[in-house]
Amino acid sequence: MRRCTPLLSALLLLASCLRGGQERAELDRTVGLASAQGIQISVEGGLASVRHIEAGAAELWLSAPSQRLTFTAGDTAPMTWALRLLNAMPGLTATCDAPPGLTCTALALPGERPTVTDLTLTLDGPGQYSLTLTPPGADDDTPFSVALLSDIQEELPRVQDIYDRINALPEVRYVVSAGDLTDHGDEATLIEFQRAMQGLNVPLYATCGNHDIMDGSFGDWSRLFGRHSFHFTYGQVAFTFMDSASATIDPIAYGWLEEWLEEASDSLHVFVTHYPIIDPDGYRNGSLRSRQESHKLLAMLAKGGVDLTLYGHVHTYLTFTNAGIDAIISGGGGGWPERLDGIGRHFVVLTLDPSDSTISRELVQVD
Amino acid sequence: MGDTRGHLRIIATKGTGLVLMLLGALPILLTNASTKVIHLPIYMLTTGFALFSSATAADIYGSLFSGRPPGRAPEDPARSEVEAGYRFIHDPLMDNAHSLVVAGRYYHHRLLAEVDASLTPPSRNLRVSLFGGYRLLRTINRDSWLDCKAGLTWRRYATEGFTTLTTELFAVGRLDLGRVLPTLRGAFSELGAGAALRFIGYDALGGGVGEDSEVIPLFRFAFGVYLGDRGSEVKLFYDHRHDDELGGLALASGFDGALGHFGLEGTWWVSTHVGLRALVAAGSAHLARFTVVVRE
Repeated sequence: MRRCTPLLSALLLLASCLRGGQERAELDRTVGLASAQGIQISVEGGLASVRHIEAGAAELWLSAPSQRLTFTAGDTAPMTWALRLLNAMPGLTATCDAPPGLTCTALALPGERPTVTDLTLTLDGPGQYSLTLTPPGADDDTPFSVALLSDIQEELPRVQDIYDRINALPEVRYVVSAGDLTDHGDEATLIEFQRAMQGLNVPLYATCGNHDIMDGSFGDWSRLFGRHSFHFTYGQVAFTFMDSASATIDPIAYGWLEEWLEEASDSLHVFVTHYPIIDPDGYRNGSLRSRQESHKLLAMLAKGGVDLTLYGHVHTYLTFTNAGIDAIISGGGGGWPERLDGIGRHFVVLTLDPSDSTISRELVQVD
Repeated sequence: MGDTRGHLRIIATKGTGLVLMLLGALPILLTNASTKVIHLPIYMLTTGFALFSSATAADIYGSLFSGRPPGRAPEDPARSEVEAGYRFIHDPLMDNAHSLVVAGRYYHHRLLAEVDASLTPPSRNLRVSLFGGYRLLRTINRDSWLDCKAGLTWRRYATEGFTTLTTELFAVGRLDLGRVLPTLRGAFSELGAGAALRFIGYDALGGGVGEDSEVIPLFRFAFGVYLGDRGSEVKLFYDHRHDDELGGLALASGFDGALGHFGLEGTWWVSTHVGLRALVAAGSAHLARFTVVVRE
């Protein structure tokens, strides 16, 4: 760990770092900020990674359906920008607001795949512009579905059949993942994962799992996927993704969680993290490394009115409640399956109805 | 060690430990921790770890102190003991930093009663444990024993807004290693195993302790050395439990949380009746505890 000062427990001769997620949380603060050629781009909430920027062109990986971006153009900035939006919901529309006395236009067109949008942004001169990206159904309060898919890991080469099953479900707007997309989290396999996602017709929003940090190069996830912990609202339903890849949540992220819980207190709220906060079987111990932290977190979620908690890490399918909140463990993406449970590769379709605050679920077995 | 027979015993203990670890790990690996098979293998794995580690520590001890033990077991172990002091915990997530601690234990023939409590004044966090037990086995001079204990631990986290009640059954024993090998005089090993049922309640849901429950395995082992003639001792221990102030070991890796915590505890008797005890341990938090102990 680069930033983790090893605390040598003199008597134990053990190097121990209590804040395993600190570096990732600090990286999260920088996601969505970029500048080049006299322009600065800032993505609200860090909900997109600016993967590439050059004169008049930028490429962004979106980690939320709706986006609000600020472009601050200087005197030397190009006035026409070609933005390539990856991991975007199909049918994205764009609107642009210009500073007083100036104009701007934003034209969004479908890209080479359903999850790519090509956007042309025309500015009118130096100043601060805001660009709003809105997918279909963003503000509706009608029921919609998402798929839960986690723990793909070493079965990445076989994931297309899962994507085919998801593609066949038109009601699924996007996929949410509790992490362990890859087995080692190195740059090459993260890129391979995103290449495989070209076969998926809807975006996938994910927090990282413990396997995604095995490589230790946290910058790769930030650059390719964006934030490890983030929060968005779509269709009147709030989604919070929290990084628990080190079997703990960093105090920085707890600070964000407090804000997000407050923000979503009146909404249907889905909480997604990799490690089950409590494993229903304590002998398996597939949960956060400290039960005290588990109960602290559950106390926060119960107080914040969270409606559903989604977990991965354990490679099976389980439903239960924690702190009175419905919970699902689904680690069925293919990674080293648990035996004797009668469950193979699978994903879960969640149908969320914000008008009556209900969530239904359907297990889809792929193997 | 210059003791072929003793050396063979240590090698045999290490081998037994490795075999147990293998036998415990195999079903876990083959089923990826299926809940249908994991319960017994967890104890086999941890017991194997304990045997291998203790035998390795004994090997080192024998090499260092053979024939010149730094201390010996007390001739007349105390029947009662009371301690009080201060505990510091560095935990980035819980409000447990500065606490007052008190504890006491009393033996009446083979019966045992224990109490242990801590109070963290700034956060009003409180822990109280009450245990009763029975000494199932003991040697004549009481340097080796096996206790069976049952008890309750109540924890209140006012700042974090939850309460837990833990019921547990635990068997723990100490073996004076001089009984196994003369060259290991002055060293001892401890092994304990059991299970706990925990109940959790959240203030946001009314504050009882019935909202969640969890069964967890308990396992603990230690290797220790006596110091001096008054029964002073120091021991290095591993505790598999994840539900106390220390939790599972933080390694800042993708494997965090699998192991429990490690610690070192020492007691130095400055007189026949008065001693100083220090404990340092590392898990998801770092702990240091210093107490004054009085025994009779």
